[in-house]
Amino acid sequence: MSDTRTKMTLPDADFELLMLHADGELPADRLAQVQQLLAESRAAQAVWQDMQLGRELLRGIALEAAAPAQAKLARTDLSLVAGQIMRKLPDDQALHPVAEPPTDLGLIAWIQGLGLGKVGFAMGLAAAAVAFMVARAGPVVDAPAADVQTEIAAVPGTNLAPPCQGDGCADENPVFIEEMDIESGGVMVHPPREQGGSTIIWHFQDNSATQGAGGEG
Amino acid sequence: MSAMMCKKQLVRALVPAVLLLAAVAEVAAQTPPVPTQVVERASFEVRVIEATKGAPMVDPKLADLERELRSLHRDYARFALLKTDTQSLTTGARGAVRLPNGDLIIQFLGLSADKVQRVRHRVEMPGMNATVRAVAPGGRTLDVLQLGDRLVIVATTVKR
Repeated sequence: MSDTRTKMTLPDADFELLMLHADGELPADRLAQVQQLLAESRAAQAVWQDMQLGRELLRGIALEAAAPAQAKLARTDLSLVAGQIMRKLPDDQALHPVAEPPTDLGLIAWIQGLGLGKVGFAMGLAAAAVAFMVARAGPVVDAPAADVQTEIAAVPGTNLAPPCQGDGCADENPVFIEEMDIESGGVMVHPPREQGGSTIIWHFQDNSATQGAGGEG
Repeated sequence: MSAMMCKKQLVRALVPAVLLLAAVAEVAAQTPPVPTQVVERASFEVRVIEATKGAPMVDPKLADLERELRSLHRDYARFALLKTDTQSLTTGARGAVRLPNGDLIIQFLGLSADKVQRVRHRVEMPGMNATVRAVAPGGRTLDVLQLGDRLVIVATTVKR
């Protein structure tokens, strides 16, 4: 049986148990239950490994992207954002969660509002680092271009700011993301770090998306 | 029948034909010309790269991206070029690039009408999400997704 199929056999209740454990929110009296699950179930082991990989990956991204705020982020527990239904922050609160608005951090995240897996929660941390989140309650997030650009304007250093009109704008900001349709997982966008550099777009799968990916070929 | 009579008959016969031709010419002159549809075309150079953990190593074919790849993530230091594919697309056309987890779809949507010309296109990640991008020629995106313990990176350079 492939790794993907193995993971698909994990019951939802067991998946939620693993998520609680990963978030550090598991009641002490259920710890033995998780340990037994991980000892006996190959599916649980595979899913647990995915969760750890995703967590590790995202922590690295958040730390690297937020170098000036690295010390602050390093002390932040990923579980802080676990279990929350993430919503779009009102504009007047957009920069409040961090003491000093980052000026050199252009990290934008779109996160699926429902059915967030572990990866989605971890992405929340990264998004919170720049105090910008967009999420929708429905299973599909569709951010119209005008809507996105209005919101992004509050975040310094983003590549999603409204198009400039002057000459040379293309050199300064060659890539605009106009729309996103997220069926699962999430997306983070890093503007180029230097002129002529690439815009980096991270695509994250939640657990269900990983299971539905059909293997890794 | 005199020659004069023949000439008159000929003129009478020709008058309706001349009038008909004049009418046709007038209608043709008033009909706006059918616009010739401009076929826009853009090309997308797609490089599929695999990143793994381990001792640092960058495929020499990725020299132009080395600096960016190395700074992508601290744990992934080995980069290998899996394939290069160039998609030349007309407006509305879709091209597929095979990735390890399915097909990446690029659809060319047309050129933007802004002062700075941009190539609008839609990128669909296999089984995940889709984004609509407006990229100035020469602009480049790196799409990164994690597959198991490796990263698959899609470097797309937009050309005109």
